Amino acid sequence: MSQIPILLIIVPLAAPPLLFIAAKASRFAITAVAALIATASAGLAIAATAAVRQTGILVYHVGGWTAQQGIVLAVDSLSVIMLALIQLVFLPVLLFPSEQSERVRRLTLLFLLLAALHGVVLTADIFNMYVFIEIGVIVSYALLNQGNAPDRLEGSFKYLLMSSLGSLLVLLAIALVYSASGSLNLAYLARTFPDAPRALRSTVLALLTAGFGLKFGAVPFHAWKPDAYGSAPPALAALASGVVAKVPLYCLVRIVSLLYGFSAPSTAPFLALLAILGSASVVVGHAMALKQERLNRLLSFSSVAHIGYIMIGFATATVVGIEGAVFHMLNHGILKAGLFLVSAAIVAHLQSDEISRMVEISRPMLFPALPFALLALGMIGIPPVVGFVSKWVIVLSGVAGGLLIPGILVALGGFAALWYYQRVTLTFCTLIHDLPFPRLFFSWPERLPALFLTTISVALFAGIPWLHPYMRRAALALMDTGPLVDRILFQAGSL
Amino acid sequence: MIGAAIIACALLVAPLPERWLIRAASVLLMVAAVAHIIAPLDATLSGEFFGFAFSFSHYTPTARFVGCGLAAFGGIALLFVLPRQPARWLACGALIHSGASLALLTVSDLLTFFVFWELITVGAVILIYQDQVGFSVLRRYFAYQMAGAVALLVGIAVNYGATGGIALTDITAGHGYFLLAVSIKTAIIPLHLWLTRTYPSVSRETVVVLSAYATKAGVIGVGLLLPGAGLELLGAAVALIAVLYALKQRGLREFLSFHIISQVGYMTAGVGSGVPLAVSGGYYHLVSHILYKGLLFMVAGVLIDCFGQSDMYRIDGEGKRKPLLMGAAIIGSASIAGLPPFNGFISKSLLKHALAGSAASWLLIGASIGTALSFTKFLYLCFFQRTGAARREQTEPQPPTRSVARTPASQRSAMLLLALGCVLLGTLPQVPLQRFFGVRHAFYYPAGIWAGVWPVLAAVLLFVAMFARINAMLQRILPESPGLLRLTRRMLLATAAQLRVAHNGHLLRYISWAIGGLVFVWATLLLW
Repeated sequence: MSQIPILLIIVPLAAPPLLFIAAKASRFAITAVAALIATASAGLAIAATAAVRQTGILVYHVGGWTAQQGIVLAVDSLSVIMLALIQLVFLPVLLFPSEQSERVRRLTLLFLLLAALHGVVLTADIFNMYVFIEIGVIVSYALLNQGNAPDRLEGSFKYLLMSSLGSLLVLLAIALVYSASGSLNLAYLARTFPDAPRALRSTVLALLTAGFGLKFGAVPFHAWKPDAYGSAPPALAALASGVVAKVPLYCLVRIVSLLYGFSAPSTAPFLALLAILGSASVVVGHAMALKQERLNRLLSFSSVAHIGYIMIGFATATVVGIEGAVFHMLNHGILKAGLFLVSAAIVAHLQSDEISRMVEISRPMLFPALPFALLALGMIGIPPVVGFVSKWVIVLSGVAGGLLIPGILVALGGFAALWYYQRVTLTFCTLIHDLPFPRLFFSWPERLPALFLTTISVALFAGIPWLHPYMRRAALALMDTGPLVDRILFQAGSL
Repeated sequence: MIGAAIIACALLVAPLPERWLIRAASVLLMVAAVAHIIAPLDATLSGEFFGFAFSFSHYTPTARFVGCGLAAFGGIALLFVLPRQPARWLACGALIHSGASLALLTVSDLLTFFVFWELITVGAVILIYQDQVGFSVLRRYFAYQMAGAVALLVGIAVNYGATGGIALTDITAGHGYFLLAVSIKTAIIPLHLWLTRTYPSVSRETVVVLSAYATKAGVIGVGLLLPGAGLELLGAAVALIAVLYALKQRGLREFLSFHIISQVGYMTAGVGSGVPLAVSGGYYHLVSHILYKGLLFMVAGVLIDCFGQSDMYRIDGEGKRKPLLMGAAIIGSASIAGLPPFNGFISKSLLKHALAGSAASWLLIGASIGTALSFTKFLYLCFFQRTGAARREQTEPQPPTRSVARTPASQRSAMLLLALGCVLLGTLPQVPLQRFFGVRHAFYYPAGIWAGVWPVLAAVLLFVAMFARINAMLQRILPESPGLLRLTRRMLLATAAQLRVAHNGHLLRYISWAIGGLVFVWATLLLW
């Protein structure tokens, strides 16, 4: 049981060599290895969830070193939700068909990315976190720039450059923290860093906000996002915007909760900043999405807006607001990945994601029109899909917490989203019966990933009573970090 | 609870073969209507949804009456739809649309209120979509409703901030937002385009279903969100202004659509006034209006069907070739004009009596005269005018007179049932009033009857004497609607265009934004 955290990192890392060997054998062997490891990873995530539910916090000391000397991996109620999000989006992305010649390369990179994401979510060591993030950035870059399309090269290069700039700022912040406290363990820092001088604490927080902001793409750090995701293969953009962009935000709130404390009075300026940058993201993201001619760019700008929703949820610094923010991370990951996967199926046939060309896929109603419409309803925030719930919670807690204008902006965001998603959905649904195009047939591997995520998004709505305690515990874990710190610091002897 | 069950059934029966589905759906709604009266399904349910307590409460007697009216009308409307060939989505949408409206009657917290408020829109969007009438109609409808939902959501949030809860009984803040939300839902004049541009464009059957629910949900919203807010003047003003707009319409369904707004103004005046008798009158008017307005939309549908004209001036009095239809039209018109012994007379007497002496009551009397005037015009142009009068005025050749198609039996029986409802609610008002409202009120005494009759007489006189002049004046003075959606759209797109210019793809510019952002963040955190 206590080995689960390290296994979550090791198991995906075993994939590249195994895939390499399997590639020599047969195509079936590749599929078998990928399926096996993905299942193992999902199983481990479920086991971690069960263990956390039973024992509270799961801690693993790598190499048996104590917290001060070595690296600690910890799983708590918040990490569990990130793990769930990662698995839920990874499985359909793996399932989506890719070109045979690229298959091994893509799978290898995907599993490396999985290991890196698990590492970021699990580690309790700030420098270790940085290392995993860097692995993630480089692997994402390699994934996003498959092929030779010039705009794809440009987009992924922008991503690499901006993200590296972010890493630089984060590294600078880590160096400052280390100089002040002499440790890199987050739990240890939670004890010692509050005594550091105020100017240093503010500087570190600014560097972290800007550094991670460049990675999760809040305004004004967002500009790479549409270029990178809009030009990337949509199936991989699903992963990038659904999961990879959420993880840096997780890092930021995790570090802030431990080093500064969400409810501490000195965090107020940071919360105000979150609200300001979040509101700006909502406005810019939605406004830019209104007039996009290409579906993937539209979806990327919508991602900018939804990162804003999540930031506003965190900015309330109340249990209810953070619940909403955490839940919206999960929902938006699932919904947006689903939309990108629908787009991937379309692009596979049309070789283009121009919205005006989508009249050509008008006839098959059940796919892509229905899943797209349902997922879009979720993004807009209309009841039968789960996106409504988190939007509701964020608006209510935001306005109640004094963030009236950000709350109104989030509510109005649904109006703008309705506008642009309607445009796309209605383009699919044009029922002109004598269009001069051949009828498209989507294969099941193309349909299944998006259908899977659509089903999940509807099922989550029905499962709210069951899900809510998990969100509540995650929010409490962020509000009160005492138990996590204690578990990490005082568990050395038990191994 | 019944409403939620109906919505669930809509999803279950949607894959069934079509004709069966409509039968099943209308039977279901009729059962719901009966259940509302005797209420064996009156279960309560409460629970927690993401930390927010929600519950369905018991029916109040008034809600039971309104629910019965809504459900019964749904069943009858589907009976009217029955001859239509492709109707699977129509029935599915109708069930969601009506089920959500029914559910609104028993909610006792703002979360479920919001959910069903939105589901009404979802059902309507399915209804409009399956008509394939062009996406601009659908887009406008959805956008207006979404704007209302945004206002409602912000209002709920403001109230949550003030009270820390979402109970419907505990509303202390956010009234402005709630007023905006219900104004859009009840289609108050500058916010009415979603109604008057949608209802005339959808099919003749769909509009019968649509006409009953969305605006009535707005009235229910007034009763739940703004009880006793003193809206009688607003409602009465809307009733009068909308009647003036209705008077100048040529199209049958445009004309009826503006009359919906006007009649909903009566309801807002009653329910929003907070005076108990007026509230009863408002809800009684709600049910009466569903019946006669449904009947009139059915008449309009059959007229358009038979004579291929939706322009009243071109129907040319040919309606008299269908005497039963003419009877239905007369009953509907008499009801809406408040002539005894039809149902409109009862509810309008209650309203005028309860609000007697206030400015609102004078506005309502004006609205009554206007209503009677415009339905005199309707009956004259469609039924009583000498055939051929209009044709002589027009220069272009008219199609030769065709033989009139026979109206299907299901449609005739639907109209018969509604006409019966109008008469019953008008002649035996004491039964429902005492049972569901606890109101005792005399209607049929000379002065009371005269109060119902004189506006109609005045209207007929006005029509004979000077209708042409009134019409010309209205055409001149009433401004066209401002097209708020287009204004919003233009403003949004202008902002978006500015932003698009800024996002020009230059990496250096993007990096400078990031550095600027860093400086901003740093300065804020250091100097706070």
